[in-house]
Amino acid sequence: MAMTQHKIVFSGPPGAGKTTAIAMLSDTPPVVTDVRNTDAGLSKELTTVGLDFGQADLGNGQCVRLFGTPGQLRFDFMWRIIATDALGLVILIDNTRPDPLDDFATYLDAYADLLPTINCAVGIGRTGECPLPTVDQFSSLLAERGLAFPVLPVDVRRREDVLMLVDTVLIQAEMRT
Amino acid sequence: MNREAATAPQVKRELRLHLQNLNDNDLAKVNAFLRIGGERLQCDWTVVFDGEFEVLMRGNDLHGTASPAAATVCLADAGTGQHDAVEALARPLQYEALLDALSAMENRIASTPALRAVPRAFPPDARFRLLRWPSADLLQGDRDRQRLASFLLTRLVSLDELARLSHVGKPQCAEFLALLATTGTLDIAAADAVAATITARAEPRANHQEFDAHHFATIRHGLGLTWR
Repeated sequence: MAMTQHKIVFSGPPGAGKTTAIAMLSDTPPVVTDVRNTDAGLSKELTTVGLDFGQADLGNGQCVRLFGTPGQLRFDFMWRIIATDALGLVILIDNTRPDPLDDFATYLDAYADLLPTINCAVGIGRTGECPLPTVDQFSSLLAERGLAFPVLPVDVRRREDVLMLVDTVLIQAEMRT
Repeated sequence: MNREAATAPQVKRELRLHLQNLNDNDLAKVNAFLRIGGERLQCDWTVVFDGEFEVLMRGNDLHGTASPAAATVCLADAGTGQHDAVEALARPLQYEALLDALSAMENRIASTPALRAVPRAFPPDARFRLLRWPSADLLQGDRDRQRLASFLLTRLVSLDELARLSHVGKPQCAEFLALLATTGTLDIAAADAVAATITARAEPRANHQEFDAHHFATIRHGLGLTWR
């Protein structure tokens, strides 16, 4: 039986929770390419410099492959490569960073040519610690670009939150078939 | 992305303005200003004198009347001090002042769930699509609402189709659509308009694999998506 693989990509700035989100869904501990963080502006010990990878087995030779893009801007050339032919793209934003809306705009620019056709959802993390900008402001930024995707507050440590984002991506994919 | 928006008819929400205790001069001005400036407003405003309404506009000599209306505008004589209130207009009634007040009422009603009235019934063949993601205030963190909104993002769907695909009850779907319609974020098209635009709408998927509903059920089950 031919193996059917689906690719879901998690993208976003450093610290947004891509590795954690993948770990929430992966059957096995995700393969990570973390190194010691040398970025003084980033309050975490390790950061991803290659990509993260996890996998959820669906049975019958099917699986969902979960990819996380490297967060640092200097690796932006990899973002599009990883997202190509993905079933869905989840953009995660850390609302405690200095300018989350600018972070979001960076990713919208990077994926600009994919976004009109890709199934995408946006998760805004740490809204409890930092409620501004509001989730609605992210939606407005999308609307200004003629885009409409689910934008949801998310705690990537909660599996059901990550699943909800993935579900909204699957719904879009389902509606396009 | 929102190609239908250019071709499908937009349905403006109806709001009823109940005029109470206004003199003939005020009544004539309100009607005239609405006739001239109605296009500037997001909603279709209808003047009523009884029955249900969303906004009450009353004269200044009607003090302390309890109102079930969503919002109240008080028209007071200049110099009486009553027009200092946020929702007060001063006589003589001015065109710009009235339209600004009604515009503010539209925003207030749209942003406050408790104040939203159920809009008109949709045509039976209506199809719906979201023009933008709804506000967090409207979604209220409700998973069903988040899922319903997701179903409305990609293409026009009917109420029946929305209920069938989402496994959410039809009354709940209708209620959600009614709420969305009050915010101006919902593209509502008749079936014939859908047929006219469907060829222009076809947006290819980034992922060229084609799957059926069973396939997505398998993915959801495998990931543990169990709430629907």
